[in-house]
Amino acid sequence: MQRNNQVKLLSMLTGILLFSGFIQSYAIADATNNTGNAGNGAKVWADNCARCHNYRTPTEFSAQQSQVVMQHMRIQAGLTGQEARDAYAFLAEQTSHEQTTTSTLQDESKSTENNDNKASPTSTLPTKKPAVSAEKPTQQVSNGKTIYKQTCIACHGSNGKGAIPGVPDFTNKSGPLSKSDSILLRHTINGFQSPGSPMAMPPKGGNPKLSNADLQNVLTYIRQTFR
Amino acid sequence: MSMLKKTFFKLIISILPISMCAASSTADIKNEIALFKNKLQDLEMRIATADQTNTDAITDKNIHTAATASIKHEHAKKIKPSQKNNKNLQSTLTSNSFQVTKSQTAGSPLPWQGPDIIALIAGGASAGYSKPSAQYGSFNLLDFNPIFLFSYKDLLFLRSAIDFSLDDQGNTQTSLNYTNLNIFLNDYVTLGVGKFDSALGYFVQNLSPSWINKLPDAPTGFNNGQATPQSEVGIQLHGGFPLFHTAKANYIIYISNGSQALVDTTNIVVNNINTSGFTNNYGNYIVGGRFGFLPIPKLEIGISAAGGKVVLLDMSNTTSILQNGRHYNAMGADISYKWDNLDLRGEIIQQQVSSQPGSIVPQAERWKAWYIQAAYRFSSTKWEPVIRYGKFTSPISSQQQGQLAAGLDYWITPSIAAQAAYEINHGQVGSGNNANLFLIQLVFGF
Repeated sequence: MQRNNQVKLLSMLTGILLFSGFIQSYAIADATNNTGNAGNGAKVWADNCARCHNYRTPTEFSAQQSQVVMQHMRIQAGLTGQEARDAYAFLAEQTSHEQTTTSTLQDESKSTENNDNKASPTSTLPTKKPAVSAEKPTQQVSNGKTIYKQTCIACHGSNGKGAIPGVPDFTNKSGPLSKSDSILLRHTINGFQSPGSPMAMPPKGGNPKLSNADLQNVLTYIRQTFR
Repeated sequence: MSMLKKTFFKLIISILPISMCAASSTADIKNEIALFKNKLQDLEMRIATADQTNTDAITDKNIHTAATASIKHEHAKKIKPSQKNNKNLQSTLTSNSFQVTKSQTAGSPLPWQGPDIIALIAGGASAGYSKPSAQYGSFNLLDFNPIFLFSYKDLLFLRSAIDFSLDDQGNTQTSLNYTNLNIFLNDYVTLGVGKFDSALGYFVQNLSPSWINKLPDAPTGFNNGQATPQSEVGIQLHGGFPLFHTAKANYIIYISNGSQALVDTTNIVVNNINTSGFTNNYGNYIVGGRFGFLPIPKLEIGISAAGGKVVLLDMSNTTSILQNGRHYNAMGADISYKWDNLDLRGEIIQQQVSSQPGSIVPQAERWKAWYIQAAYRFSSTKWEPVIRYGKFTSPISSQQQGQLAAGLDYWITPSIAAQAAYEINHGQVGSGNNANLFLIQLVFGF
């Protein structure tokens, strides 16, 4: 009886090891990247967190705590290692954005109190003048749509109404699209905290590879699609 | 890195005029040393920050070394080491340069940052009041469930959840919900050893924390001793992987010590299956797992199964073995779908001991539970009504129950809520399972 149990246990372990071997070969076939991408992380965050619970504000935890949280979620939610790193990159960026904003606000407050700084408040984030796209309008919309579906859709949704509670509704007449292009582009480039939203939009939607012309194309697409 | 270069350039420019006057007086030299030390300290801090965020450590080091050498060279050109203070200055420069270089090589691999070991206490707590129909109510909902999380780089992860609650006499009840050590073998496979929430089904392992469960109570049949396995002590492989470009899958497979069947020797029936997780299960093991498939991110379909052997113990004396190695199996299926603010869930699970002629309990027995649940969060408000219907069937008729629960959650923050619910219960007449129940509680996830 005891010997029979041992044989069965050995068979079970062999089965698990064979399965592990299959997954390992899968892993080798799909070469892994050892860095996180905040843009992908925003999508991981939007797609996975609400599978079980409400979206928690990304700035509830420090960047270091978020690292532990994402490793916990990697196990709990069955995320891949890359998804966990991407989500961590996104959360760390959110925390960094929050700290920068807070720091800037505190600096501005001090400046006002001391009344010794006549310079206008400035963001520590880049405030380049938005580029004007040289592409044809139809090409702009097409490129903008592609980028929107890759980078923006996770939070703003396919209908522009927002896929996450608190994300502003593009279709609302008094919503974000009531602002001028220059303001919207500045928010997109530098990142923006919408009032009441649980998270700030990361600079360039979390994808630093996007050029200002790309962002102009996205805005053109958004205006044409959701207005 | 361009920022770092600019910083060095500014530093050199700022040092230059000071250096020009270096030999003019001893006081000037002292000031110069102090200023230069401050600049170097500032530089050290900037380099340490760059260490944490820059992915190209080699380039970083080369630039830093070149810049440090440049500073030393510029300074050496401007200050002749003819005076004692100037010698001190050189000594300081050499010392600081060494420290900066040393700090440059320290640090953990990217992308995970910070120290090698990081700890965090997460978890949840709840407190509230309940009142069964035709009985007195009491503040008997109280639970504190901290989870201790420790990570060692991107290699090992320890999770340990402890549950504190009070019994009717006010005595503190403590239980180890789970403790497991997990090694990240690669991006798709994690090996875990220890005690786990049962991998079977979805509710127990993912939705049972009070701040996640949208109702103050578990669905009928989903508590310990009912239809749903709660814990396992053993070894697991778990992870997730992409499928067909857009779809995803996650999985858990495990071998564990398994469960114990408690026999009512008076009525010759297995009263319930105890799935608390045992370190000694008389040589019995269970193998099982769950496979979750997500064709789109908002939809998850899961199937679970387990099989093995359990021990039959006398429920009035759990050290008395009535039979060892009785066949056991469990099966389950779950589905969840989110559409905008609507959250839909359903789950069915059962566990059974098979028949065995000649045994003290020869007949097969099965415990089965299921529920469906819908919750809707009103846009731009903090209100979320919830409704759930479930049923639990058991070989023991007094255990059976049908339950309709309606609740209302007010989300103060995404993880703090006030929850109220009313359960309409149908069980054996005269049993506690037949009483309706009102519950209200405050929950906090941290």
